[in-house]
Amino acid sequence: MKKFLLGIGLSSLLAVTALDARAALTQAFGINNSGTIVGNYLNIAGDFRQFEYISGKYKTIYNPIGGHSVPYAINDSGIIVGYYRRDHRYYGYIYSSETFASIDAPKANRWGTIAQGVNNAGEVVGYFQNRRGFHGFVEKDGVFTQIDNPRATNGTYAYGINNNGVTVGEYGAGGAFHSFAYANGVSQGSMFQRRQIHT
Amino acid sequence: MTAVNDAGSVVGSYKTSNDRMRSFLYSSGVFTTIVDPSATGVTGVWGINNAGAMVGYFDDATGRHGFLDEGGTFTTLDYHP
Repeated sequence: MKKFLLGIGLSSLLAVTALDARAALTQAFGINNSGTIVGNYLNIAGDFRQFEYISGKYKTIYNPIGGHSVPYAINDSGIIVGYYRRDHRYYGYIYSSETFASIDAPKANRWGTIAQGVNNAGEVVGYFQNRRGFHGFVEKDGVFTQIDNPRATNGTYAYGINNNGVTVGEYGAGGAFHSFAYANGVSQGSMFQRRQIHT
Repeated sequence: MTAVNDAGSVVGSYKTSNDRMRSFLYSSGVFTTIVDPSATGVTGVWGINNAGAMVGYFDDATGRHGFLDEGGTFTTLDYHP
C-alpha cells in the first residue's frame, strides 16, 4: 500500500488572493446528495485551483503541495477524491477534514495513479498505469483491487462508484473506448479479472 | 461513463460519427443527450447524485463554465470568492 499524508489543508488559514478574484475558467465534476459540488477553476495567474460549492457559495480548497490538481468526486461525508500532478507524475488523493492523503496504486509506473470516484463507504475508484498498460482499481482502507475488463486490449479505466458498489468506466478495444458497469466481478454478462494488488 | 447514482442512472460522453463529443444521461433504459442551453461548444457531464442533479461544464464564446442541471433547469457556475 502506498498511502501517505501530505499535510493539513490550509483552507481555514489562507485568504483567497486577489488572483482568485475572478475565474478565467470553471469546471464542475462531482456532486453529492447534499448538493455540494466540487470542481476547479483557472485564476487570472493561470493556476488551477479547486473549489467546493455549498449553498450558493464557493470555497477554495488549497492543495498543500501546489501544482495542478483536480477534484473529481465528493461523497455524502464530504470526502473528496481527485488527482494532483507533481514532477511529471499523477497521484490520486483523498481529502477529508482538511487533510490530504495521497494514494498511489502499488506497481504504478512513472505515469502514476488517478482517483476519480468515491462512495459513502469510502471505496475509491480510479486507474493507474503499469508496464502492461492502464488498469482500473477499487481502493478501500489502503487495499487496492485491480479490475480489468477481459475484452480490453487498450486499458481499463474506472471512473465512478455508487453506494451499491457498482463501478462504471470504460475500456479500450478495437480502436475505440466502450463503457462498462461492473459489480461483484460481473459486467455485461462477462467476468472481470480482479485481484488484490500487493506491494 | 463517468458517474453512476444509486438508482443506476449513469452519465458520460460519446463521440459522434463526425468526431464531436456529446454527453448523455442513461436512466431507466432511456438515453438523453445533455446540452447546456447556453453552450455554443461542447457540454461535458461528469457527475450525478441520487436526486438526478447533474454537473459538468460547457463552452461558449466567453470560455468554459461549470453548470448544475436540476431536472432540466440549468444554473451556470463561474467561480467567484
